[in-house]
Amino acid sequence: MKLSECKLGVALHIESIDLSVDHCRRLKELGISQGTDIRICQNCVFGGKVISKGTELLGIDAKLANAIEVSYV
Amino acid sequence: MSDTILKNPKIALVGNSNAGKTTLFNALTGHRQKTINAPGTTVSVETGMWKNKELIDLPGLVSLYHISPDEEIAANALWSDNSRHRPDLILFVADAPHLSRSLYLLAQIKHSKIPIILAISMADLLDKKGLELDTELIREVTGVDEVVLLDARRKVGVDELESKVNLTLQKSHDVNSATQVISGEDVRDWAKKHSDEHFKWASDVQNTLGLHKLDGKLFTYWLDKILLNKFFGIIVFLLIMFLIFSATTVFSSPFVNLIDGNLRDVLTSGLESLLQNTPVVLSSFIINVLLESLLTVSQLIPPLFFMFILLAILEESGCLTRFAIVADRAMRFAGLDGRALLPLVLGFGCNLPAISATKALQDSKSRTFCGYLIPFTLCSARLAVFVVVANALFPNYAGLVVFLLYITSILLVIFVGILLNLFNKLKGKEQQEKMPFIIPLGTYQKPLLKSTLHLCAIKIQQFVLNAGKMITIVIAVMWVLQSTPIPGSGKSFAEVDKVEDSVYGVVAENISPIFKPAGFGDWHISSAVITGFLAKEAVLGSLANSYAIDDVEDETEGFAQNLRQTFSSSSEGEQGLAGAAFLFFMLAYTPCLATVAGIKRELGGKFALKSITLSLGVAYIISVLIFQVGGIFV
Repeated sequence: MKLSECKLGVALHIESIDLSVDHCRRLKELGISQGTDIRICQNCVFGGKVISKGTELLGIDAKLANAIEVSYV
Repeated sequence: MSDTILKNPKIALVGNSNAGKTTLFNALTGHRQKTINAPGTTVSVETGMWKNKELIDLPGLVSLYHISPDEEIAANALWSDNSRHRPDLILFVADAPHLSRSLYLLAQIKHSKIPIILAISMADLLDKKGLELDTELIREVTGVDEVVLLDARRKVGVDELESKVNLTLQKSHDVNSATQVISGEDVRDWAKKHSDEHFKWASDVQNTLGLHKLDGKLFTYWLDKILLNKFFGIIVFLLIMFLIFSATTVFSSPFVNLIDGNLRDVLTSGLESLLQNTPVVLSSFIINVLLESLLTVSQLIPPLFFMFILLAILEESGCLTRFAIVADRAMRFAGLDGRALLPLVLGFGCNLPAISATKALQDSKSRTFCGYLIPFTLCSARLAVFVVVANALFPNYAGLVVFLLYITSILLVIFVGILLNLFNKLKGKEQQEKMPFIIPLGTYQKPLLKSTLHLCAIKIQQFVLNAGKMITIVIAVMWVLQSTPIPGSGKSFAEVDKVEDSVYGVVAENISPIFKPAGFGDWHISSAVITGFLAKEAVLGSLANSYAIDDVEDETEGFAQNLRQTFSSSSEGEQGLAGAAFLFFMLAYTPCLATVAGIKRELGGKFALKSITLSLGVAYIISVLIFQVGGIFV
């Protein structure tokens, strides 16, 4: 399922990211890649989300939330 | 390595954006810093002196695989042998709560073979949670030369940092290794080729240090639930924007009025009586150039002060990055991300602090884009001119005219934004698919009054020193033009009473035909337009002066009549259209001198010229279109 469809607070596992290689690399440099465990902390306006990974918080837009495929941990 | 490196070693602050680099830079350099642009770019690099060491605050970097001009400058400084910013030592800044985020970059930087000190900032946030980082273990595992825990805002750990920096510089001097670099290969190619091993190294270090165990202990969810709420987020954001807008305009206005009113009167009359026996030229220069420059710069300090304080609070507290998420979608129209909304909104109060606020934008493309758009926002100084001129020319519809000007200002920002985007696409600058918006959010922190005021003082000092010079030069040029009599006027230098008897009047007369297609080709108006370049408030004074009226407020009807007559004669009876063309010209044409000085300071002289050209071009086209096209229908 897509990250954009997930509920708040549930632990999630990233299965794949449907973006170009360069964009996936930048996301990986920021700590988001296939195999990463994350959690949605906040649903924001216009479909944006705040996700957590360890102690880190990241704000993402609706487009990225739609491109990330996740499964429940 | 030569001995000169030990005399004035160059130290680069390297790290992710928002890792605390600039806070550490300010704590170490204090007032001894300056902003320079990287050669051939609008990317600004802060440099400063920390005792005998030169500190360079390089732009924030996620990886050596750079994707923006700012990152490219930082990456090349560490990579290229001949970069002017290449350091003798790297102060790698990583924030304690998000140490793992910095490890991938550290894995790459380690290959530069430049000595590295890992400065772990915001250590106070760990202390509060009762968490600890083992610096010795970090040093062993990462292989950096030294590790220091810091709380730069309170200057905790700075002494230890200094002794470790000196020690490391000494060691690197002894082993003569600091200038070895891997060169001859493009930094992006190299970063791409070795990315797997660097990711693995970062992951191994993270596991060895147990950084993942910090999971969830540092969050302040409740504040995010308000600021980023799906429904209330925008309301809270707009409320805070309104507060900042008010503070920079309304709260600062008593101070500005005090400087422009009482202080000006006292100083002018004081100097006039003091300089009674001095030659007219000298006293005129002191009063009209030196005092005027001092007062002009002083008037800018109150709004800047409030602006810097509020921005520093927002930035230090961690709120600014949250607003970027809320405003992101709204800013997409101009190809900008959410962080750009703040400067644009502030522009409606005063363009100058808005230009300063572009500093908070993280890449030079956004900064320059915003720099182009801000002059089109209707600042409060222009509003004063619009109210008086609209009342004089459209007495029954003045309110509606001013409202339409506000709406036009917003539409202009959108229109010019779209045009610039199209232009970039045509030039091939925007061919790549846009990176989806992702922004690391820092931990919320309580702003510290002392460090906030310190930061504010540094910024104001920099502004006064940089913009002050330009303001003084332009005021001096205007004074020379206004003081030089035309031949046959019977006046001598600095004794010219009427504008039309001065070279300034002749210049205004000669450029007035340019405005004929817009319906206001008259020297009274062109003279006011030139003066408006200094300050928009001065337009009314200039018009009144050209009609030999002492005070617009005392002689409203006389002023209005003169103005109507001027527009009527310059437009062959179409005074309404000519007046509208003039108002729209005033709305869009080049901002005041202080703002231009601010643009030059933040984005460079070349960019300031481009910005002036764009504003003038747009203003001229709009005013001519209004007069010419409007003439068909009227």
